[in-house]
Amino acid sequence: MGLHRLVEKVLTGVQFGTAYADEIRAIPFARAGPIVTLVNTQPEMTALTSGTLFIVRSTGTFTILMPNPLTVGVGNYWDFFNAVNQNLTFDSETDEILGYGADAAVSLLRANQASEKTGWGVRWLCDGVQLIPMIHLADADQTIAHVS
Amino acid sequence: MSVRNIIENVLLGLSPAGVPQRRLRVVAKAASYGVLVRDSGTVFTTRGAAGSVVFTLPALADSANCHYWFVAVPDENMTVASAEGNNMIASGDVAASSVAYATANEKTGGVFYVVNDGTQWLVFPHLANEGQAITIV
Repeated sequence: MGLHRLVEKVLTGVQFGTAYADEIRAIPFARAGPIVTLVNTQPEMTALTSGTLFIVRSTGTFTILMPNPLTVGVGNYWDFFNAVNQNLTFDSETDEILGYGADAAVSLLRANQASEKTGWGVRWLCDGVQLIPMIHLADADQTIAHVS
Repeated sequence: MSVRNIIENVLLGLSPAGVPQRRLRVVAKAASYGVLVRDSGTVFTTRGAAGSVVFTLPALADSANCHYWFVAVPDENMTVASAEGNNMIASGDVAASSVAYATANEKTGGVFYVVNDGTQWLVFPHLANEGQAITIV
């Protein structure tokens, strides 16, 4: 790809790193972001922190407040991994989270069953309408609750 | 800002103005769609679909290293199918032709991440719930 084409793509709003041409299709969809450990602290979930991996090491039941998907920006995402055996809840102000099954939208996503708390993760992606949880279960029996 | 500054920022993975760019391309498809090589890196959703949606992957030989995300949003079937058939690796099947969230009340929230390793399509399912079923054909 010529340099002028690269500059042209960027200036016209085409995101570098998502493939729009065969030449760059092998480039990862987004470069690796920082890793931040949370100990009972609310993460900053903004466009500036998109791509961050948050390792949750809370000392007790912990609730993370989710941003408004209408304002946070399409395509922004944040990864979480629960590294401790503590209840972890993601809480939106309203039903702004993509649900499961019959629930098109929910307010809470959490893992709080005994012995089923450690080791799960989730990527939160904003599509401009909702926050989409892409869930990584630690095993096939782990219970993730979607709560309206 | 000079053109040189812009180029430097871009090559460093920043926006032209120097802001970190870690954002995914998200595209909603309410109807079936033939995925393109140049879509690599995209997150496709079925937002707005009123019926089944089938995403057909590009030809395997043309799309080495391509990768895509697929998210089932409404309670409608979402299928990801290879163009040739029998070249997807899914749960317990090294020669699958398609994977889908197609069980009643177990569709919304299901995610597939699919990668072409140059030989086959590798399917990484992200279940919304431990009981969510995947249909493999």
